[in-house]
Amino acid sequence: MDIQEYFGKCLEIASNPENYKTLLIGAVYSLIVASIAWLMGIVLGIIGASLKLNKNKFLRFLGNCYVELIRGTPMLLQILFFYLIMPTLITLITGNAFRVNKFVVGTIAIGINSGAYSTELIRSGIIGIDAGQWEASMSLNLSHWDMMRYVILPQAFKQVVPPMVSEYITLIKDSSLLSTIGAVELLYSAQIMGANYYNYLFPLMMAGVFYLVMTFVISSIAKKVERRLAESD
Amino acid sequence: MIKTEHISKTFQNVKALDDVSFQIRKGEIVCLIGPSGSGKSTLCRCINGLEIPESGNIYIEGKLVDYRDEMQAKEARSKTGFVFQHFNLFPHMNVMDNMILAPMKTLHMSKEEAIAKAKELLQRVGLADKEDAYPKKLSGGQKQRAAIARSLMMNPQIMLFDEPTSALDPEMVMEVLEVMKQLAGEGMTMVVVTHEMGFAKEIANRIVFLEDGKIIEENTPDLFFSQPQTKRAQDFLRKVLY
Repeated sequence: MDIQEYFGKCLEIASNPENYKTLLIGAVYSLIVASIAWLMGIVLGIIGASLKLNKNKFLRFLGNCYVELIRGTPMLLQILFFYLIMPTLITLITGNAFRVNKFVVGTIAIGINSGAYSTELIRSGIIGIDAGQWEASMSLNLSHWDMMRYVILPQAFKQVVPPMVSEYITLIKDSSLLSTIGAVELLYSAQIMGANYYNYLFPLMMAGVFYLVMTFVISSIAKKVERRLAESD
Repeated sequence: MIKTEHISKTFQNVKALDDVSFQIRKGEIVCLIGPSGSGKSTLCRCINGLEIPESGNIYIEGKLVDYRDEMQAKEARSKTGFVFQHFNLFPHMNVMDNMILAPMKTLHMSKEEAIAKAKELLQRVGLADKEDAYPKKLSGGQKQRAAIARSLMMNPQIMLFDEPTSALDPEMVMEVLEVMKQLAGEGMTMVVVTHEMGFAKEIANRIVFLEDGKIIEENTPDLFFSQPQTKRAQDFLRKVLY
């Protein structure tokens, strides 16, 4: 095969609209995985941050364990754990065959991973609030809950929006790791297409374009939101 | 009304307060003065439980308060208002929302009632037209007046002022002092940590002079400023007065 043939093949793939549709569907799956994992991460992040900022030593310890364990090991390993080890363990323990959906376990694994990073983002957003705000709330006799709800968290939220958006963008890219367990998201659709045509140039480059478009659109929206938030204070 | 007995507080091996006993009666206005790091702010903050002394007792209206106990802290703080050097308004809320948040949440005041009271107080501190403004849009003097009004919303019987004019541009000091003077005229019990000697002389019933975490001298303003008894007070006054 010479270089002309190589690019000719590429044009052949590019001229078939079905191929774009396949990649687009893959991109939608990637986006869904990233979105659900991100939301899950925010919920886990709020829980993790309240553990890590808790007065109770044991709860703080739990929060630390979660964050260190997740951040200290590769995300791919965590995905493989949930896909290869957890179902087997459950099957052995319960005695009933436990089957998993690749997308479901994959999303859970990424969500749990993201939660550890979100924990740190939210925690630093909260402790970044000026001590004077806590003191003013205290001297006004606000309860701990009212202080968090009306004074601290709204201010922390604003600080946390930009890093949370980059977390979302990271997750869109990291969702490609699910291709390793055979979940047909954007990257794996491209790989399958490449294998069918014996030519990876167009599918992989086009997948890259899809990732770029998604991340670009999200960061543009985020910039607008940040500007709106900045105006209100 | 407030009594501290032998309170001590140490920050990283520095004794901020060293066995300080201090008392203030109803209706009295006491100014705490002294060089930076003398412990005057720490004393003021201990009274409101923003710092917890390692030893000693604090009594608010005759009741011993342990600020580590949430119930006791809440009860004691319901009697005191605190004004900070850096105002500490809530930046994400406009002036009105700053005013009505705590009364609605902790005193269970209705929104209408809280707004009516806030309007009255803002009128009194000369900020009637600023209720919709965010703190960012206010000058330092306006911020501090709003902060004073905010703490008055909670019906305190004692007001604690921790260097209320130290963070202000000179031309804004007066407007804040005027509000405090007005409050003093209404019979409010006040503890004021301040560097404004003229103000202390004019409104205080008593001056408490601190240095190195100890009360060095305590007297009426007339006597304190004209005939300071201790050498340290004399030195201090020589440095701060022209």
